[in-house]
Amino acid sequence: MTHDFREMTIGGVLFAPFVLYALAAFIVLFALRPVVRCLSIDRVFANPPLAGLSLYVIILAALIVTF
Amino acid sequence: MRVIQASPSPMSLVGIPLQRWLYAMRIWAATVVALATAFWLQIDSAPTAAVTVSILALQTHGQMFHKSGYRLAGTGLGIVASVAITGLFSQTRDLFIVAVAVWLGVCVFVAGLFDGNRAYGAVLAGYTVSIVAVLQVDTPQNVFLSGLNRGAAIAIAIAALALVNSLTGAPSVYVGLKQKLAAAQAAGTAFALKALRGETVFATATADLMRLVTSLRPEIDALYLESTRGHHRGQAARTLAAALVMEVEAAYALTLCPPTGKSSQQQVADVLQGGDRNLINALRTRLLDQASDVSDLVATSLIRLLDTEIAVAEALADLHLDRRPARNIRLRLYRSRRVAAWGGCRIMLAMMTLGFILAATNWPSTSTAYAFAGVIVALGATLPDVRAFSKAALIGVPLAAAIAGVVQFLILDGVDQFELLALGLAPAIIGAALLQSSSKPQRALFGFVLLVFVPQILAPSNPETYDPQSYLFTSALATLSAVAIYVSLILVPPPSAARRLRWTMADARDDARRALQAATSIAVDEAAFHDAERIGQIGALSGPQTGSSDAALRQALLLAETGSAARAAHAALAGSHVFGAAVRTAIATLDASSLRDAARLAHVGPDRDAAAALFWVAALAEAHPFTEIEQET
Repeated sequence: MTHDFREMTIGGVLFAPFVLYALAAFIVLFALRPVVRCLSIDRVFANPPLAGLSLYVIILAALIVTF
Repeated sequence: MRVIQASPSPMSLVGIPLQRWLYAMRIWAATVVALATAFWLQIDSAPTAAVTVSILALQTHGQMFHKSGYRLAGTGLGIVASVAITGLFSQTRDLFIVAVAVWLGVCVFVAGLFDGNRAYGAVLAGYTVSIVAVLQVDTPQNVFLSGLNRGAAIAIAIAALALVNSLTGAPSVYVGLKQKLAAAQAAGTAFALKALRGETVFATATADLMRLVTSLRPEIDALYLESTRGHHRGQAARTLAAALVMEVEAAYALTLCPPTGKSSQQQVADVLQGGDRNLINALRTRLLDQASDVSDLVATSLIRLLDTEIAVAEALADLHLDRRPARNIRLRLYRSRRVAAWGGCRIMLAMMTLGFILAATNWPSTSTAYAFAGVIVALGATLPDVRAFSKAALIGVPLAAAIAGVVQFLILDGVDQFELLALGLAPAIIGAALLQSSSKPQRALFGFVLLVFVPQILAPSNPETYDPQSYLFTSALATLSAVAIYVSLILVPPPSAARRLRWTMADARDDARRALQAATSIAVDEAAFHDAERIGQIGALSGPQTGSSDAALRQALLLAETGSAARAAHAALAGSHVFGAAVRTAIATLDASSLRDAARLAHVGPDRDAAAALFWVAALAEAHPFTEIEQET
């Protein structure tokens, strides 16, 4: 099942909806930083940067599916 | 002084450490991923994605993310400036050239006031105008679209680098920085021990040590984005860097007013050498209890040194345990505004001259040469020596053109499969990245030029055009711009080392005078880091090449110590209710007898600290009168 994506236009120039989702995912990721730090999630993984990247992809996918 | 170096990799291939090979392979893989994504999304600026990977090619994860942020921000600002300049001046050729040159000059000036990736972000805003507005000068309606394409290509390159770095486990800036700071701490303690034992402490060694600490600032800034603990780590590293600078300053101060209490000095030396924090704390408490006389400079200077050693040890523990320090410190950067302004004017004049000469030739597509010239000068402006970079570009750009030609017409020679393009790019990208990661500055510069200009001239597209005329044209114009910029920078020389030294010393005197006049909102340790930045620069500038000995350096150290003592005294007076406005006037005029008279009024609590600070200012003023250290060397 797919849903409609909101288009963004700046000065008549159309932007892909993905740009909005990508930016929103970054904002959510940064908002979650204190929570991730408190839970020491990064210490559970052998490669914390990869875990961070995976978290970003999960947030992005969740935003695309939800909104 | 001990030179701090990263420990060599145990494994190597063809004499090159395995770590450098892995780095080069990562850059190649990221270039391929970025190009593949840009082709898949069918964006027009696919080569920009490859060039962005080359520019963001940094050894560690944190540095890459930090530079990426500034690359996005700089590009955004550059696109706005491109639209504005094109909208205002696209119909008036001469004004357009002037506007581009002025914008580049302003950006280079701003870059001159910053360091590391901030400086890069500023010059990027400048040369984005070269790439977006200048290249589209004949089709101004495409400027905005070209800017958007460029932004998209940059975002793709950042994502590709993040993916490749994460998957391949790129080194962390935190691990390397911890080692460097621990080594700097060991060097700082060794320096303090030398001063305590009465050995000769050279001003040049002091400046080298300060430069060693202050040069870590860009890496400290890169900690924030690297991990979720980056914020705390960054704060702890900043506190540690400021404490290290304070320790070096406190140790050097022992040589300015040499203490005579040999037994106390030996005790302090012994506990510093042992490094036991409990013993250091215990000795500090004992010295404080024993020092019944606040005019005792021996006790004051030794307690000050122990305080800095305790601060260093606490900050180092915070850094290792990812703890947030009690106070957030800002590491203040010193940059000479006059040197930055000279650099900006120089680039502006060079670009303006080149622009008018190219316009006068009436050759077709000279805008390409002008755009390339903008990129070369702007990239060079972030490096310590723009002339050295233009020299590397003079050899590197023709070589990059030759390599791009070999890849395009001999290795690929008409193929259209992406896999073959990826393999064809491998020798050039990996070779350039290996050179760029070299510890030798000249090789690293040369490698950087190759890494940026090979994909720029090759300009991979989908489908690949294999147009020899276009290749020859781009190569010739890129080489012409490198030669033209080299010649322009010879004609408009940089300020001489002696002149830069004079300007920097004038700034040091102004800062010391301001510190004497009144209390400022800048904390003592933040101001000490700022002074240390300047002393490091003076150390690099003074010496036989400027026709001076290290007299300027000793003078700068004295000015820094006088300013620091005055700041500490003003700060201590703010917490005391005993002293009036007359004492502040005595500090401003460095009236030693009035300072001593006022200091004898208080001996306990916060007033005791103020009294000790006043005695120290008075002792400094007597030993080294400000009117003497103010005089030009």
